[in-house]
Amino acid sequence: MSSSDQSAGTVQTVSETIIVIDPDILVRMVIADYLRECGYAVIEAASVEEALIVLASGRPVHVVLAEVSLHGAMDGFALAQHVRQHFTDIDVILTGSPTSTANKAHDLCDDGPLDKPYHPKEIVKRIDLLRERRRVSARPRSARQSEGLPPLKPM
Amino acid sequence: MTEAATQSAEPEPSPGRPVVLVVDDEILLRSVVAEYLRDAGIHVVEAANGREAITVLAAGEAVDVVFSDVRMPGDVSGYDLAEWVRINRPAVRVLLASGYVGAASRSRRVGDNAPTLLPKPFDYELLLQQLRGLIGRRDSA
Repeated sequence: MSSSDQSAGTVQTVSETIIVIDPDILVRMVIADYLRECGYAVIEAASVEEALIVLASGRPVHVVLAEVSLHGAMDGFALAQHVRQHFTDIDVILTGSPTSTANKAHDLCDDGPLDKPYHPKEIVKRIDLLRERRRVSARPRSARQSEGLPPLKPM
Repeated sequence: MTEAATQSAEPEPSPGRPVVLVVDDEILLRSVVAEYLRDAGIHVVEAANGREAITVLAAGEAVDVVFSDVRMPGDVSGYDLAEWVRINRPAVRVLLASGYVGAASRSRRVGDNAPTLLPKPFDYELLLQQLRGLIGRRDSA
């Protein structure tokens, strides 16, 4: 990845924490390094089991980024469902979904899966979008109206 | 272990920040150690087991020091990993953390190319000191 590619990502001023779950270490390390260059704190998990340990530990996590086709106790879809049920403040981004499961993925993660291959800056864009949506939804309704923002759509 | 290195020549030491490959199957410990080392200016690559560590090293990634737990699940222990490194990436230094090192030997080397042993539990500052020593030794080799 070139430095010009990395500069395309948004540099975070407030560090948010992303768990990157990918069983392929050579993929995981590239994504994790890119996200760190963009200012995120990154926890690298080789499996769903590792991610669940981190979530259960109470460490602050804002986004879970996972492969759809994970092996072990849960695949990416099941993990997304688990996070939605038990960690409502955490956004989920799934990657590598085959087209046949796209609809299912769309129901379980925010804005549908990112098809592989993808550039890491697409991940950053997706993270920014999801976190901004959280920030907007956390604002009082009156503040949104005074800013001329439309009503929020359900996520 | 008979796995052969995939690269023909040892990569040069990293020109910028030193690179440490942290290998531990306990994610909470691994991530905290990695974060501490990153805060100290080290570029850290994280591996969840010995097999992942070999994948990184065999891919030719620039690594100055491997810091690994001795006991890990799977077919590659810390000692196996150290042996693989000695054969395939001889310029890379190895620091092994073990709960079974004698208390008297705070940190010791056995022979020129043997891994350095660090008793568990370890102090992070001592770990950083050990790693910096090994990085310096590689640079001056």
